[in-house]
Amino acid sequence: MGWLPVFKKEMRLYFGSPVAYAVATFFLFVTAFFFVPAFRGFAELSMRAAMQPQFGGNLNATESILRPLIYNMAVVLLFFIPMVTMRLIAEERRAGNMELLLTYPLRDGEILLGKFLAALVLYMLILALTLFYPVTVAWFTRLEWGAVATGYLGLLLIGAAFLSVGLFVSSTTENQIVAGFGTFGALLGLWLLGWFSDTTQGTLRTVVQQAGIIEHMDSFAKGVLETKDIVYYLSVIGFALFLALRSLDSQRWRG
Amino acid sequence: MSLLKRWGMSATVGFLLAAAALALFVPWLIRLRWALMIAAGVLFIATGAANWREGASFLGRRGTRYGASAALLVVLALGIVVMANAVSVRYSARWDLTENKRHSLSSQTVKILQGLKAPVEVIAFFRSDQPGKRVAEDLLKQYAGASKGKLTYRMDDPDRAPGLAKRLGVESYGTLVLQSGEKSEKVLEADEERLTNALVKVTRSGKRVVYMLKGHGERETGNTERPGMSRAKDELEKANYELKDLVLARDPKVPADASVVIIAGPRTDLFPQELEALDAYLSRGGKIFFMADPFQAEGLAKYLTKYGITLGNDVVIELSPIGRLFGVGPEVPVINQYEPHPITKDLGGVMTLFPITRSVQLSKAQVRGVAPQVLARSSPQSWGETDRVALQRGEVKPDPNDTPGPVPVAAVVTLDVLPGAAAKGEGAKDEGGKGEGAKGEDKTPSKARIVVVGTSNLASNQFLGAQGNRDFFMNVVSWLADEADQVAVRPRDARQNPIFISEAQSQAVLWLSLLVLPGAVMVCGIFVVVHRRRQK
Repeated sequence: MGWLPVFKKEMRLYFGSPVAYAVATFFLFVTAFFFVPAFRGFAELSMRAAMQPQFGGNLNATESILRPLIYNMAVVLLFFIPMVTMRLIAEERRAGNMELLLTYPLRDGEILLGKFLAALVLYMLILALTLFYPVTVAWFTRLEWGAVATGYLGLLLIGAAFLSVGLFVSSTTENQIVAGFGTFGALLGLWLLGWFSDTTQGTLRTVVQQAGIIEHMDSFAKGVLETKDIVYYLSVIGFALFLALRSLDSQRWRG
Repeated sequence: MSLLKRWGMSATVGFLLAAAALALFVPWLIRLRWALMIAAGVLFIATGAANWREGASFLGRRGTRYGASAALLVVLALGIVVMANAVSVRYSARWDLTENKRHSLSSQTVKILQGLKAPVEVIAFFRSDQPGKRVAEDLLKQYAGASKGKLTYRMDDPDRAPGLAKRLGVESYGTLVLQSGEKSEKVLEADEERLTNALVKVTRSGKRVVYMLKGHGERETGNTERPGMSRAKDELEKANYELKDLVLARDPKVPADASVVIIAGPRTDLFPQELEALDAYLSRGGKIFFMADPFQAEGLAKYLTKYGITLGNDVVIELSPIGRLFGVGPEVPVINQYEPHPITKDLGGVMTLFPITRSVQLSKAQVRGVAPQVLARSSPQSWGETDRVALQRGEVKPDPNDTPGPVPVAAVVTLDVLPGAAAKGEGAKDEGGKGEGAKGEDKTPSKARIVVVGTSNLASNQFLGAQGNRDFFMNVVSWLADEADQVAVRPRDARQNPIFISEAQSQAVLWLSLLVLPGAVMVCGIFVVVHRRRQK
């Protein structure tokens, strides 16, 4: 349980300072900009379809509101997560706390785990607040909770993947700006990788599609669970945390 | 020397990057790429030699050794990650949690995919920014996944591969081409029903045989002139039909391997025993496509009344100005009114030309076991001119005894097949034993089908290419021929659950999401910060 003190300290830092609230406020504000037009547009379309049945298109609330919303939330995360993770370790190193931390009777893994879990819990709390949107929709009409559940599982996984990449990048530098931009760049790179699938064929296409970080969000958003998507996010999380561990370890022997 | 020492490594990396960039963007400059790579190699060795002393001490340091082992570990971990992902892509399990499983394939499709024997390749032609591309690829991914490797697909851009698109006859974006062995099949819209039916067609063994009746001045499939039907023949052969001649005057029996019999504008009457042969063919579930030109082979009109169809003794004259847009006169009705039917469903409202056509009406009297239906009508500004003399003079006007528009010009008939007759039909098939492919596949003889159009001109070389004529013609034949193994995939549109809200509720949602929720969190934050300050 060596990670617990680190976790507690991080949580105190998040919620005792404006950090958590600021991040949550802005995240909710930005996602509302995706939700409100989709919701009102759908209501308007329902009204029009009721008056002129011949224009009645595909009026499924889950498909028309929640699916794009969940996908867009993943896009917003790309910008938010680097801001949350950039200070995680870089700040400790800047302040000269890292040597101290490393001399504690804590294993590197426990330090990382504490910090990772703290960021993850903060993220999950913010994500829980966004449940306001599906609940609002469900208030007015029937919602397919199965599809919403897969969407949120996807958001949880992609968020955790982003966080772990951020943690790793933060562990490599003592400059928060560098950590922030490095994370953003790394995530954007993984993101854009998926775009190259358009220009490739055959096996390479499969490889590129599996490597791209956003492609996997698609099936979660539409209500489909696929093991390859889950494996992908878990392997990103695992590999990034492993790299972070190596990076901390290297600080011992790197002069 | 010091220059090499300092910049050698950077130059090496630069050369390698340049080579990689060349490989990506200008892959045909192979020699330049090799030159760059060799230069990089030489530079690397030279730099290594120049930095020999430093290099040796670097290798001996403790940090280097730790670094090397760390790098090894990272490579190992990366290997595991890659392996895990490769396995997961190969054997991905899938759960569809939507209510009606709308993102999964139907059981019929899955069964067909699992029963595939020969490999099938699908090429999907989409522009890279086309909205339907993702949907199509998603569908194809599911097909490929369920086919145990028998079905492969690739996405292609018709603008980037114009040669391939042309060779496969792709004319519009969003076309899918299925290929299996020699055969290929086009799908114009990527949905499950169309794709699965195309898959059935492309993998079906043998060819469907279309018989063309001969002996009464029908249109010739060998004739490449304007009145001939050589283009129709080419189109049919492209769509995997085999064309054979049928001379009922010589052998009054429709062969057992016939999928469709086409009677393309006979000029003289059919003999009674020929009509009997057609009756016998229909009674065992036969499919006939009649094209009956005006004022020709009037015996056909009498024959068809038996099946609920009345051929008008007239020529449809069209005054709607729309025909002028296509440069055709009033004797060429432009049809854009279709009745709902599988034949016209895929036409998508494209107009067809019915040059010099007679009217094809449903008989007033009902015939038992016969279900006729009108397929297409001319415009309200048209009528069926019955005055032959006036027609020849070229002076026509609607008279009271003419059929007023809209005039039906095409009809379909479905006939119930008596079980006994069907069984006999099966027996006859076995005797025939000619059509290996067609035989034995449709074990349950479906209803007999007849399509009647009032002109054979629409299938002529002159008019087949006009507007939607080719599609109409091909749809008629494929509906007649392929009915037995059409797969109906239930549409899996998402459930309708509209939202009805008042303006006030709409406003409430707006302010709650945009202001109240983020605002509440912000107030919490301010409260905490202020509280902390006070504690200090």
